[in-house]
Amino acid sequence: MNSSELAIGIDLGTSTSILSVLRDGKPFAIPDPQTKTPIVPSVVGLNRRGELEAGQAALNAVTDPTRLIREAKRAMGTSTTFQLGQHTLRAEEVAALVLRKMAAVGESYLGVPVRKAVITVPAYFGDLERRATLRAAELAGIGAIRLISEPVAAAAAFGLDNHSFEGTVLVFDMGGGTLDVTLLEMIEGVLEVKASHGDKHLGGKDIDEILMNHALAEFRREHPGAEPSQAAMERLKRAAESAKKMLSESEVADIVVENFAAHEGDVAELCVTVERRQFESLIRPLIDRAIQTVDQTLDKAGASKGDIDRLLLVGGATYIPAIREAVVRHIGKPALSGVDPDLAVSQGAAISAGLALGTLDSTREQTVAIVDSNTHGIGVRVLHIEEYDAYPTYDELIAPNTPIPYFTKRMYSLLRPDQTELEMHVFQDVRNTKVLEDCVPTGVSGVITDIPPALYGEPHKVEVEFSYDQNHIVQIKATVVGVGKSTTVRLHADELSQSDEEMAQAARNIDQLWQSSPLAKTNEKLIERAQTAIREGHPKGELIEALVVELKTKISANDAEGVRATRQKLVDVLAEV
Amino acid sequence: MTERVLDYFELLGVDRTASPDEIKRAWARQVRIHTPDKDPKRNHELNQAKATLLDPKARKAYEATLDYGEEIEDLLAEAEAAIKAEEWDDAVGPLKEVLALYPDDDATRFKLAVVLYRADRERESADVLWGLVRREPNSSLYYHWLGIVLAELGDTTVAEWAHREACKFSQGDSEPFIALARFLATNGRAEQAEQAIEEAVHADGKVDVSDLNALLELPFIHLAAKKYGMIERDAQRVRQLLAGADPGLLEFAAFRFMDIADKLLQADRYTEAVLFLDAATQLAPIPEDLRGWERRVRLLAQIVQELGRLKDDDLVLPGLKGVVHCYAIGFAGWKVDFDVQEYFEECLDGLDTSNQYTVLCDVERLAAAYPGLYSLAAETLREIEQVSKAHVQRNPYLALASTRRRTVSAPGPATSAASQTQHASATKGQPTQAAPAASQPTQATSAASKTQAAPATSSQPQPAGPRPPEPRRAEEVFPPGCSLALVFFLLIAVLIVVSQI
Repeated sequence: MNSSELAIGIDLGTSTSILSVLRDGKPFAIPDPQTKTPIVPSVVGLNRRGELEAGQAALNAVTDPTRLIREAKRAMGTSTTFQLGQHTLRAEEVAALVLRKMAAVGESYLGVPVRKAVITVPAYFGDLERRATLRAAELAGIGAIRLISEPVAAAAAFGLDNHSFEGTVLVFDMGGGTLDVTLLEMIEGVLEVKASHGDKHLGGKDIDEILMNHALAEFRREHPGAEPSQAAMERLKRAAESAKKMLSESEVADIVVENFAAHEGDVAELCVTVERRQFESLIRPLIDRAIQTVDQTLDKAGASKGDIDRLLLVGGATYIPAIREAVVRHIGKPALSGVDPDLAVSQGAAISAGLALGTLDSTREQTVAIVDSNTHGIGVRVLHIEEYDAYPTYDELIAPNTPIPYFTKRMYSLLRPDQTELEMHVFQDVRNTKVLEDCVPTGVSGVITDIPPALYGEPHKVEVEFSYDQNHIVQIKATVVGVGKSTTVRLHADELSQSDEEMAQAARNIDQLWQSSPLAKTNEKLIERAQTAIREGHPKGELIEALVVELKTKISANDAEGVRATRQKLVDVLAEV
Repeated sequence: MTERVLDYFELLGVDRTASPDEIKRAWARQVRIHTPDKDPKRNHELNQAKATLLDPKARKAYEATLDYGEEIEDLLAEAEAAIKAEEWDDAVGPLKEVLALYPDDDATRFKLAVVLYRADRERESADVLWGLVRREPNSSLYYHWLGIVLAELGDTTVAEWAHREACKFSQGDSEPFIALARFLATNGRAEQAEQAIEEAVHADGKVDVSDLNALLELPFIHLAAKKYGMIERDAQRVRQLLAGADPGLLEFAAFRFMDIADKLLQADRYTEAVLFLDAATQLAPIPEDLRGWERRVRLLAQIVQELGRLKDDDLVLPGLKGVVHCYAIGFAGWKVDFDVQEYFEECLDGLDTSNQYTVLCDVERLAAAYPGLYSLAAETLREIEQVSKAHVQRNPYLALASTRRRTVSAPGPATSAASQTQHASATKGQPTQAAPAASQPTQATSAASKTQAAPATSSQPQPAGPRPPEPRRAEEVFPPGCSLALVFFLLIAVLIVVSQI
């Protein structure tokens, strides 16, 4: 199968990631050969030998929290950096390593390299976070076909299975780090996003934290003055995580961490028993916030609870009975069965990839098409002149909940005929007030310089072409009209943007780090040689490519025996004259 | 200019009569063909088409544009040209034609209402606004205008209701409350007007610089209600609101107070004018080019007050009273129903027959107790003094009496420190007649000076009426240099008692 025709979707989650592929028009989540499950922890770490580990392997091999990075997604689009041994990584660089891991998972199963995929992002992700995600894909060597919002992807997975359904769907997507609530309407196989709302810090990790803090408080009450080490805290985090999972099944769970902290010359053990009822009252504030987010979403869409025909619960946190019940009770509709809370997002991403690549024909019956919308209004800062008053205002270019892609043109004027420079700043109307003071700068701005003075005293007109693409990325082109040739500027994120040089350097670093993973390191040169041979048009190129993929698969699976065998085959082919 | 309008019905493949459900389904079928991935531009157009045709108002507007787009555009251009030329009646026709083609065009209908109002066709304007209010019962703007037009028509009860409806739907906008306050204030309901202003200030849920306009309405209300004591407080509130704000805003606010002061000046209400002037100085210093105007306002207030006292002052000869009064009339430009020139001559005549030492004492008293009036007539008074002095010096008894009298006469009632300083400030520079930039050359006279011979009898000026454009100035009535000659020529004339002073 030609790899470019493969419709692959990657759910790049805060705590776990999943890769799905479209097979015979149906999405299928690919298991990690190491763990046999498609749910791969979004974790990278350095093992004792200083080699990179990713996914479950990282959790297994690395216990030192300073050599482990998790939940990097929460810092996407910011300048926050993470420390991995002596490496300093930005969030998108960590995401790139996770994506490489996912690509390796895909390759091991599909037998062909993963070159492009649809990648999911939370619906609330703004321009900077989405741009950072696209950079992560680029660093990982994966072409992002497009980005898709997680709840929209989940709805697509539902839609494909229920293509004749017509009505309103509410997706409640509570993953590791975030809550996204999206209201969609489905008609004639078209899923249209009516409104989205989210809470950036409301997910499984916040629940873990509550359990951790609870256990820690109990421990401190029994052992005043005892201070656990950072490594002990890492073990507590994992214990809390498993207790949380346990509490979804049973009525009671223990959080046990041996050798937790030195106490009065002795080593004390942390052992806290949590009953489900107690757990539920601990997370009640989070549940309340989640329900509030549901109401805000309905408000934004101008809909009420009664309008909802189907309720979709996705994301790992919706396994928690208290959360499930609270949402079901609030909406007054049972949650749909038949949608896998863990896999739906990734499956929807694969469907989206199929639609984008054309392997899934949206015009055929029994398929879906997706129409997404933006979450916040976006505009530019302009000077509003009224009689003798001039004051800066926010001029909206796209209203919230507008179907995307969206294009518009607007004419403005420079202030003075002798104006030589124009600065444009893009603002996001986060509070939906259309008041400049309430809007936040997106960091996207641009400048036009060296504007020649206008003749006849009339200031130049400025044409602003605005586009908002389906990746939710803003492009603005401002043209000063009538200056002979028009001056144009492409707006860029000034603070976080990287030059091509920086990008290349980051890509080299990521590549180097990736190659440091065990087994990969020993076979690095051979794979490099094989890839050169393919590029140079080796007569057995296809066979070599297949062997490279096989070798990479075995490497990912940590199958030392298999690696040796495949390596031998590859060496044989390459050695032939 | 006229781009061809994209036919949404054609784009979606539906009839002009298509129902919302048909439109939605047609859109969905088209979206599946022209997905965002395959054809973003077409997809965008499909979304626009659906959004427009599913919104009943937008659909009507779109259909009108599709059918009569060019005609409407031409008619609106015609109307705009008439509006620009302020030929209001000429704008009515084309606007009505637009409405005939597109009856749901509320923006044009509203424009018609405003144009009719400007054309002094209030009754028709009100009818159009009633129609708009019926169509859009939650629009603050339409009620707001209805209130204004009805008030003009004298229908105050319904006008008030309309203003209050405008407030109800204001959605945080303070303008309708300010309009209500203005309406109430002009109908003599100051307290309710004040209350409306408080609501305007709090309309958007916070008190900040955006409430300046509302606060600046308060002095008007207090002026209309004669609550002069509140004016200083009004200025204080403005100052508090603008604490830390752009000094330009303070200057703007000060100008508003000065503007009111100037209007009061035109209406001969000098005392109140000074109150507003003081309020203005609380906010920002008076600009250099308005200092002359400021001095004139203050001096006018002072001379009115002094004339009021002078009227009953038995220690000043009627002839002298008459002289300074004539100067005051000239300076203020009051319109009087007697010949000032003639009266002035009569007064001087009277002085001739008076006891010359009394004249001397009384001029002295004028200088001490009536510094404002003295400063106006200073030149003539000094000449009178010289004439009298010469006379007295020829008569030793008079000279002796003069010194005696000086020892027994106590300082006049108004020679307080305050009036002394006022005197100083008033006489330091010659009063010029510079008016603030905002003031118009058209002035108003007080009803008091029309009905009564002397303005001095009235310290409570009445509402303003029209007045000839150019005020008569002291110099015009009495060209400098003439006065001394007059004194000599008229010494033998017959004294006529002027009963009013």
